[in-house]
Amino acid sequence: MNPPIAITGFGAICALHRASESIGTEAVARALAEGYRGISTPGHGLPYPDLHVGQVPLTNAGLRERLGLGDDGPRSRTALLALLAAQEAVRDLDGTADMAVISASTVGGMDLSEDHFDDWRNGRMEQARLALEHPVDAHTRFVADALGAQGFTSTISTACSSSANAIALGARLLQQGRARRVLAGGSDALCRFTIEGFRALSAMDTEPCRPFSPDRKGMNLGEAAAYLVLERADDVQRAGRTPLAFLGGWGNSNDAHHATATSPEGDGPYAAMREAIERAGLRPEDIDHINAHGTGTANNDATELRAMERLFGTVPPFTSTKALTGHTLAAAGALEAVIAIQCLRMGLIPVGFPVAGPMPGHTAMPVTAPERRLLRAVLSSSFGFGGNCSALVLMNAAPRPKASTGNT
Amino acid sequence: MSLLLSTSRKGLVDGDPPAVPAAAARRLSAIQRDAATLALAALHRAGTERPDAIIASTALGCLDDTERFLADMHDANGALLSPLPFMRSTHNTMAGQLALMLGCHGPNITHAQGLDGFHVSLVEAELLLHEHPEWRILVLAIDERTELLDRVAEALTPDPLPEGQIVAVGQGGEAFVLTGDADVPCIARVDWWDGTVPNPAILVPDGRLPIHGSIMAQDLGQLLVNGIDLPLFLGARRSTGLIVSSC
Repeated sequence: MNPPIAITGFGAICALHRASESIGTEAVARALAEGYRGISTPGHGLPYPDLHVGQVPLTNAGLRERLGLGDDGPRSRTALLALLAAQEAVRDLDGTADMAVISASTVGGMDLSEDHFDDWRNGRMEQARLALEHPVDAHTRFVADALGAQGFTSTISTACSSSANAIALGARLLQQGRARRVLAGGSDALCRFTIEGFRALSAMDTEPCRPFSPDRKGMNLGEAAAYLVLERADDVQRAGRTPLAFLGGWGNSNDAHHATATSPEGDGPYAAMREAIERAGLRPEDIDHINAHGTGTANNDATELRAMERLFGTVPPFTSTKALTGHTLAAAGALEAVIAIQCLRMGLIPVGFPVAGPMPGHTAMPVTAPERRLLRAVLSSSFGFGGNCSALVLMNAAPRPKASTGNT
Repeated sequence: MSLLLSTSRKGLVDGDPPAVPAAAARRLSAIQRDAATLALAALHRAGTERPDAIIASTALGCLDDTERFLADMHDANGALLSPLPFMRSTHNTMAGQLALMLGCHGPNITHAQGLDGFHVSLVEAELLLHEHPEWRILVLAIDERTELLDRVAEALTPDPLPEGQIVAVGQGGEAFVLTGDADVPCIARVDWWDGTVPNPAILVPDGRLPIHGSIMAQDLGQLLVNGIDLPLFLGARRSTGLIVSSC
């Protein structure tokens, strides 16, 4: 029997923050409650006036100011976002020295590399130092050093499922007694590389995206960093502390169908969701709400809904909050876990894009009006390139979860 | 405890299955082809057709396709770009391709943690094998080298190089098959080392540029080929350690 995992801290920065407001998970909760949609045309010098994105409304200078960073050398936007979210996540902890840090990113310091690539390939190496920010683990080391965390450290890069897998690894380390406290999540900044890439794939909607809508045209990219602090529930209880929520279960399966597209029946998504629910000791009918992957592409939304229909029969109320935040790539799993936790805490099923009707061949459609009720378990899905499919089950901290039995 | 069933270095040896069929190989990038060749040989030597999980590590990922797409972005002048280099630029390209090629629907992870990525992959394998001792897990470490990487590494190398330090930018990889099933013959065993690693036997000196994690995997592969006579501590300084010993 595996010990349950408690979530004792969380932090996030994403497009749901409004420039005039305080940032963090409280701002996420407020935006969800108000139905705020953080999608706009890009600023901060990104040359795409014809697109819509989910952008954090702070410049790099603004992020540095909030972090109280002096001129400590070049930092990628991914690293600045990561530290801001990580600082919030550990705010109430009594110490971080023995904490493991497991982060996730797909672009790392690409925002700097793409600016200097032309110099480098032409032998102008004055700014070569910036290349040290390029590896996707540079932000993880920056965060771990800034927090004085000296435990196990890694960075997962499994495309859009990355930070869900970081959270799962953290939970395994705790369950098997290899860590006492884990910071797990991910960070990805908007950059031209990913915008051009998804545009080349014709996977972008130039208008605000419409996940699970019959007229959906693709995704909006977003940027975010989000982290959870994980501890063993028995440790937390012994210390007389109250968790924010429990991590009930997780699943990881490869669709093994195509480099970028999901199989018609959604085999990978189905297996990942089923494993997460079983690991939580739950049955499909125990899931009160699904924070779907829901990118807004033709392929994802159809195959994901097919997988949900196969697993649940009657699909629980589901939402794609990517309609609110954009698709934040490696950060998506952790950001949507934060959103799921806020939904559990508020008893809220939020609206993503209010579709006019179901997609052809389906009867189920996403939530079109917000609902207020007690939620016990929320499933959050994250699927990516390379067939990487992951899912998490977040559970209300009020009723104790049944002990997890693993999936053996 | 994990048991190492097999390892494969770059290049096939007598008795290995043929490398990836030419028709399939044409669609793959060089780093994907190398990953497939390493993986197929390690699986064959372990008597395993399809692993239960795939864990890859790569420090810098698919540099060639990343540079190709960056070059296209700079040179296109508004023309439509080919999505192929972008699709193949993600770090999980190799593990995803292997899952597809082998029909492996199990857990699929890619770590990118510089020199520590390989060690972290072994930790992940150990955690999975604790849950499923009977599994066969493919652990792969791979990195590629480009002209631009060499140029950047050269620019970042201190001149003169402090004594005792070296700069190693290489390419290559190593694949391993691990299980928790104690009933099969193995070439080495991996256990948790409780406490932080005091003085790792396979630790790249600080002077090496923190670039390629596959170096550690290749070092371990070399030691395994030669036979381990003393236990090896494996891991980054101050990290959760592993200890490798002969079976």
